[in-house]
Amino acid sequence: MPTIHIQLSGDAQLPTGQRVQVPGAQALIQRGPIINVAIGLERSMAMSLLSSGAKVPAPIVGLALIDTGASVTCIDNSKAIELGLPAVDTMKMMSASHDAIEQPAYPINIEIIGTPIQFGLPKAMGANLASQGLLALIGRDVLQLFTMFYNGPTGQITLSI
Amino acid sequence: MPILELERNYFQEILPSLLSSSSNQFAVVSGKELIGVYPTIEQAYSEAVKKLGLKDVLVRRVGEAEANVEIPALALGLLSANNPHPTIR
Repeated sequence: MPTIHIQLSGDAQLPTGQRVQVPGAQALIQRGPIINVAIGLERSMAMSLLSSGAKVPAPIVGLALIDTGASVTCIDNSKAIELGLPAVDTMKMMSASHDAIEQPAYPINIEIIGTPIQFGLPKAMGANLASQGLLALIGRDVLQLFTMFYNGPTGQITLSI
Repeated sequence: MPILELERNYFQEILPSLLSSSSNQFAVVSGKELIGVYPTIEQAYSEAVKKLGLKDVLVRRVGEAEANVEIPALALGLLSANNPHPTIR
């Protein structure tokens, strides 16, 4: 069973300007459960491109935040455009405070870096995530495949599929 | 123009006939043209790329409405909200 175990770490700046290491638990509070991923074009599209002799865009590497509150997985809109991903549908993001927002849906493949784990998502929602330093939000459509252990006191997360 | 507006409007126009002929299959629509209907989304994607290259195109299961998604952290702008108060330990 492929498993990934992540120990979060980080540093902070003191008022004196000195940088100090923060405990893993604090890093997990501040950053949330994040993993390194590579996102590329959905596999059947990539295979079709390859068979026609065209070049498949190279995957983009970045951080993904595991968000148990998100019903679907999201990719940053600007990175989706950079990858040349085609929009294949739209999704309505619901909100209690304002009207639903229509967002593009992109066909993607996600690889968890450092593991053999990868999976295709026919429709991931485009969202503006780059300003948060994120490439993706991993939602419950992906989490349904995983067992996740969130170890708050040690600042560790473990995922297995 | 909103994303895939032409395609989504055309999909709605032809939906009654698609429902009677191709329910639960995946329709590929580009502009105001039905490119094809396929049994799986992978086949629909593969054919869409073969015929049109990497182009924006509507791929939707016949009988399925636009997806409504819930992402409170994005909808409420709370993605990197940090509690200014110390954590109780």
